[in-house]
Amino acid sequence: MQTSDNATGATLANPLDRFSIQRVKMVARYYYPMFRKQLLIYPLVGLLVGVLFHLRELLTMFDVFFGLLSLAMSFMVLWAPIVLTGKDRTTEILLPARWSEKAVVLLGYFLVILPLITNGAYYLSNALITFLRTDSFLIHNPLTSHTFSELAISDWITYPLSYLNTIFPISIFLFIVCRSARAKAWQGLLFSVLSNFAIGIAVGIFVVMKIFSFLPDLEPGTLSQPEIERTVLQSIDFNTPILITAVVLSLGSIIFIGLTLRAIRKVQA
Amino acid sequence: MIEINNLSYRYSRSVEALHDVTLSIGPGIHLLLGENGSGKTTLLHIIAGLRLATPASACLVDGIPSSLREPSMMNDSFILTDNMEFPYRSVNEMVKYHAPFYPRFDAELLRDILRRFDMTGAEPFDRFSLGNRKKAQLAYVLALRTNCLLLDEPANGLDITSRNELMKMMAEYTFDDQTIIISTHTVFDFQNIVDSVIVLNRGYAVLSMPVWQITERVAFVSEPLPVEGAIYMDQALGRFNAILPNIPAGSMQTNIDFVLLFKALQSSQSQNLLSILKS
Repeated sequence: MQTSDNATGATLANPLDRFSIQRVKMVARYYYPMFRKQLLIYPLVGLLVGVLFHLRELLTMFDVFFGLLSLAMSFMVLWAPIVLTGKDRTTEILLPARWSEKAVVLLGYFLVILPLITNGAYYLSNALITFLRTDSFLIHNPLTSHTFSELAISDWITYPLSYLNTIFPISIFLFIVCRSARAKAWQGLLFSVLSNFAIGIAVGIFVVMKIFSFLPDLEPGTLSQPEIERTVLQSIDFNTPILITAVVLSLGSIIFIGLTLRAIRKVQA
Repeated sequence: MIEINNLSYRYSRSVEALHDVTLSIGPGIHLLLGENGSGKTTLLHIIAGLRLATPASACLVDGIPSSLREPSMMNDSFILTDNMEFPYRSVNEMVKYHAPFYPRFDAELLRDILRRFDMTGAEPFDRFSLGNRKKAQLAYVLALRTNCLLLDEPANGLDITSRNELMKMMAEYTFDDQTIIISTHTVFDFQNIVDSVIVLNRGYAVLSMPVWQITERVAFVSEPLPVEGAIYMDQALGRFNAILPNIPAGSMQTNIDFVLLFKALQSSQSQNLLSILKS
């Protein structure tokens, strides 16, 4: 059994209090009823968006609708921690499990499992339909296809970047949820949207700066407007600013994940 | 065993809620009394691990600092706060997803208590009235059979029959080593089942004493005329309720009057009363 030193509060560890995979499973089971609907709906939405992607190629007027739909899908993932808001989380704070066991479940679910099953379902349906139509397994990333398809950016950057772009706002939302026993949904929604805007604005500033630094090198009157656009997009090295953004997003995510872990450990009623 | 050692607690940017509280609370049913804002709920929250005591050694539950929130301590302790909401739809869902964390949970006992409250456990919490939700919650927390059970205003919202039933069940189902602390303003409901009383006044613990010891040292009387030699006297409904020194100790066999005791401890006679009680 555990004994304690009254003067210091120091304790000799009870083996039962060590991190336990069995308890992680119990914690996951505890949260399951709260996550059940998301686990069912999110992959279905991913599958649907994957199918609709091909309709976009058939009907040009469908383009805007698809854009909105893929945006809605990404916001569904960003705002997933909303299921933990507006509830009395006293029972959760009292749960006889280590904070690290709760953290594994919460971070694992919101930062890994949910983005994975949503985007996984999208890629699966998208790839299957592509295969049926063209006999190849070409996959289109909904988060990068609009932004980066025309740019000379390596795929090895765009995929991790789209993931970082997802987990940064989620980690902010999760921190807001975990820091109090009764978190308010609007705070999480607001700050995750603001962080997304901040990312967009930062990337936009980088891109505009790069374009303006490139334009003076073009001889006036030698190229038409579409040719200028194509030349700019194909010639400029966007990898460096995008890489910087990725590093900033990674650092931001690490900071907020750290704050979330601290909040799970220290949260008070 | 709950040991509180020189515990002080201050809310951020606010007044100190607890001042240098030292208590030792053993098995039994304990009544925690105090005015609004006296620190009762804060104390219960710290014992439960909902608020973190500093230093950690200021609050020990069975020798383990409550602020560590170690699973081996948390699975033997539970607090039912006043407006607590359970995270699931019904008691049955609590049993399925929450009770597995509590090794002493007794499903048979839960069924028995629910039956006494005319419930099955399948009823959704959101369709319950306040009183029925409280009954379902009480049934569940009693069935958890945790060594340490903290109840903040458990009788709030309960009708007279349910209050009586709750009192009977608590007397019936409390096991030998169990420590139950009840924080309440409706002391009549728990008059006959309480082993000891703890009184907080503006964050200070002014009294912590077994009921038998209180009634051995002072007597509680109610007379139609003013009582001579009373330490404290209060007039209500045409009668004079008084606390008298019980000299020689235990010579008068009277029942404790928690309301009168509490009023006396809030009055200018409190030091006089405390010196007799602690003599």
